[in-house]
Amino acid sequence: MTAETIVALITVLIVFLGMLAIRLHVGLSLMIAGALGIVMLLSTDAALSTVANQPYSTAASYTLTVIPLFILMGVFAVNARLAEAGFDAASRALVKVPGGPALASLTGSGFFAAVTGSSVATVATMARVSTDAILKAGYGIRLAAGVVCAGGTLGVLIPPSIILVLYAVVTGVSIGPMLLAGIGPGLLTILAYALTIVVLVLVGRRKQAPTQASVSASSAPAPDLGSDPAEVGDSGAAEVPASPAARQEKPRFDVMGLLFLAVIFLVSIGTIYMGVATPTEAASFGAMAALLILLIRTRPPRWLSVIRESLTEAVGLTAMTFLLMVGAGVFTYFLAFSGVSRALVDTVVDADMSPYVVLICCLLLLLPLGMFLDGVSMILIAAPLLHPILSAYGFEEIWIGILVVKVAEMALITPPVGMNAFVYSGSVPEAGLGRIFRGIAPFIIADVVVVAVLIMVPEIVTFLPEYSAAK
Amino acid sequence: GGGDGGGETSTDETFTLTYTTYSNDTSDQSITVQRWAEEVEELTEGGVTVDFHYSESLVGAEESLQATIDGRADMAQVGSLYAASDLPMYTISELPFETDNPEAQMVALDQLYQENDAYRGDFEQQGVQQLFPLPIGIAVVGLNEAAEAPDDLAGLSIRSGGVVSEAMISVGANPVSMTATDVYESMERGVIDGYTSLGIANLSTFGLSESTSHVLEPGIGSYASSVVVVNAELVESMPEAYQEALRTASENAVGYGLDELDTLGNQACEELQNSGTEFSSFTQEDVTAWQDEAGIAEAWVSDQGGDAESVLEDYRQFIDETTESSDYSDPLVACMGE
Amino acid sequence: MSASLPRPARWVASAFSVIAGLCLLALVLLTVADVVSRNVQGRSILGTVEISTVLLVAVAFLGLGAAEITGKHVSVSLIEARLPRLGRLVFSVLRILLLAAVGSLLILGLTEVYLGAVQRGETTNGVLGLVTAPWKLILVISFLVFFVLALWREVHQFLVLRGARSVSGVTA
Ligand code: NA
Ligand code: NA
Repeated sequence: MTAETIVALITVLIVFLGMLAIRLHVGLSLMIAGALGIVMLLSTDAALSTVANQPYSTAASYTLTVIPLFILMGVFAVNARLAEAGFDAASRALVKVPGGPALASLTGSGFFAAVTGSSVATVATMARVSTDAILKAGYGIRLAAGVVCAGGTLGVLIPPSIILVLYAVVTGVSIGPMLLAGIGPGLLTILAYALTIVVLVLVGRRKQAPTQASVSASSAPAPDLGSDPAEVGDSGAAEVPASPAARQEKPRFDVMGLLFLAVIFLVSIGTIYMGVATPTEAASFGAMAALLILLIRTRPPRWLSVIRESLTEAVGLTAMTFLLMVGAGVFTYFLAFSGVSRALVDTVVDADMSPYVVLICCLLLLLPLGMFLDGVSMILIAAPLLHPILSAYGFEEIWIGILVVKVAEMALITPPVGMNAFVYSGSVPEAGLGRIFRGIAPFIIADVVVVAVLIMVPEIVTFLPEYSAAK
Repeated sequence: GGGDGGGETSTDETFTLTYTTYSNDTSDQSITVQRWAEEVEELTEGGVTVDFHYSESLVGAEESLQATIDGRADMAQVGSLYAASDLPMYTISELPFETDNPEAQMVALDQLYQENDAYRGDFEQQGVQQLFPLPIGIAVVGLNEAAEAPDDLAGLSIRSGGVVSEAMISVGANPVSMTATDVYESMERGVIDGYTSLGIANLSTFGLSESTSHVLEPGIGSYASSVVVVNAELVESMPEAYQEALRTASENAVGYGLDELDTLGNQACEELQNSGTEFSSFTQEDVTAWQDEAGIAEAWVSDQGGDAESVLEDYRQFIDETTESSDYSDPLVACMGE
Repeated sequence: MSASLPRPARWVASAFSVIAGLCLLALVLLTVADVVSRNVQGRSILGTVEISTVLLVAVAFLGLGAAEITGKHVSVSLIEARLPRLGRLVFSVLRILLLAAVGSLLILGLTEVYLGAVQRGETTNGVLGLVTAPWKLILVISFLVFFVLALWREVHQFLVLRGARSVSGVTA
């Protein structure tokens, strides 16, 4: 790299952080910083062309149609109240188990993750319901916060997942196998969290008999089901829509709800696994199925309004994602043109370190990014830089992808700043960030163990895609 | 460029050309351009070097020409598939049934740029120069079952793109758009019954040379190409000696392209033969009937309007001339002959 | 916050997101119809990929304005949240200036890209050869609405910050 390039790189990074600091849209911050870099190294004309051509060239891509489709599917599923179905069923099944309500919340997050592609949607959907149930059973709010925030990360790991799609797109990995690869690690994560819950509950029991909940299960409204990252930025300024009817005393056993969850998952991921549909086709059928289920579970007079609300919600989330992608596109052009990306790969590869040291360093780099960015931005910025380095070391691409996404999701729950924690505190204001992060801590330990296992046993990641391809 | 009397390599001015391509760094096309760049660097004694950006890492395939015009890149590989709006006359290289000799097609495209005003006019209007064309080879159809005549393709879902899709439609096949990377999986799983719009040299890259049970030479021939273009203003700003170096290397590049096509094609051929692939081709009458039925060249002329006729005429004439003197045969044809 | 926006602005943004929603539904139906047709009749719907691709352009950006109104766009409030009122005022002014600058440059650039597409008669590179200009016009309009709303929102916030008491009385 020339001195000119280094000066440009430093300027670009400073400008980017500056834009973020003054709370400009992350997408626009990336765009401005990237464009400035292009001006410095190339020309103003080239910078303007890059910026002006980016929106169309970003969106005019058939592969990316899967993003709004997955988003739409998730929104339909939220509005059909399918997450609650999973949670209620698990609550009934686990009523006698130590930590039952917490395990039920985790299971509910797992079920919901199988139909939505977003971490934040999972937290927002599960937060109030789970917290009330866990507190009522006599466990503390720290446990509730920990379970819900950590459980949220399942939304991204278990397919369908927008972030897995984006990772595949920006690195050129095949989308179908990438989605399938998330299932194993997702299940492993559930197992690790479940063990964490049981240990926490047993240890807690030995220390003291369950006391009355320190925070009463208030009649606060249910969370905005379609909640989204931006409300984090506005630190809880979310407008919460009219709350659904108060929850019943005893959880229902919503067989149909569970069945519907299974149908959406089978249609959207099962068809990819069986190879009868491409990811875009599968997502379309998934969205279609979710729409029909939403109609079945909604009274006909409300059909039009609920469809309209869902579409508006999905379109807004799509626009949010694409604005980020446009900004990241400009930024990535700068990194590619300047040769920074290549220099970075060369430097790391030439350093001739142990591949696993490099891997762990790359993964650790992700954690601080979670202080500034949401999951989508993090993947859009980090994946194009980290993926080539790790592939150069001969690691399997899909496996790298899953590790990067898993750790990026950890960054959303690690202190001092974590998106999921903010979303939770928006839904359960009485919890307080301090207690939330203390509640999350044991689950981070579980995550570290999961990542270590995934590194030692890569088959957990690669088994499903390979088995599917071999059929 | 200003005429600087003395000329000569008096300059210590250096140029680094940013090259953007959708091909990956090990493809025959990228290797060809690398060889071109090495020659240019040698001829200019390091005065002109090329900075490569592969696999759309700088700009997308559809944008590469625009990027060369507005300065985001200096040189680009432009696929005929992406040229419809900006270089309409160049889409002539997509016409099926014109030639099964890639060398003849390459030379004809070169000559069109030198001698046909309508063809060159498109490039001049965009502010770029055509440096040299890159061969793709003749269209191969990979199938899960044998096909002896065009009618056997009727009703099959076949991955294809560009003008070849029209040829597929005319025999009642069902063209499916799909990126080349998805073809392997889709073939394995029966999402499609066959694929085309690929040359034999592409098959190994996409894992198809060891998994395709039937390979058909459909008579479509050279069905596409790509050209390497460079920003005209930039070239004109170079010392004459450098410009001369670019021209010399470009003249040799067609040869490099065919070399690399052969290397990959022969490798794929070996893999196909080792995996017991069955080869077939259509009779000349069948192909001629198909060509007449499809009427693609005629439609192309009337779609493009005015000067397209002269472009087609010259293209055919140049192809005929080269075919006579050429002893080149496409690696697919060679492979089937063995 | 959305209450502070004038009715026409909210109306336009919501109309756009309804159109985008319909495009999204069309995308779902087209893909489903294509797969069904392929498996039942053995025939794809010609140009499904091309149509889906241009539909995505509309789906991706028509909702920008509505996302701005509902505060969906991601930003980092980490630092601003810790600042006194004066600091927030300064940040607010900076954002207004940046939004105005980026907005005008981007709109100009997008307009140029749109006019270029019109002039060149640009089409998609597939069997259908769809004209791209209308979709590029959608981009111009979507971003225009987005920046107008973002600026409006920002200016409003600035005014609220500057004279907290009087304005909050109005919006409450
Ligand atoms: Na998910
Ligand atoms: Na964090």
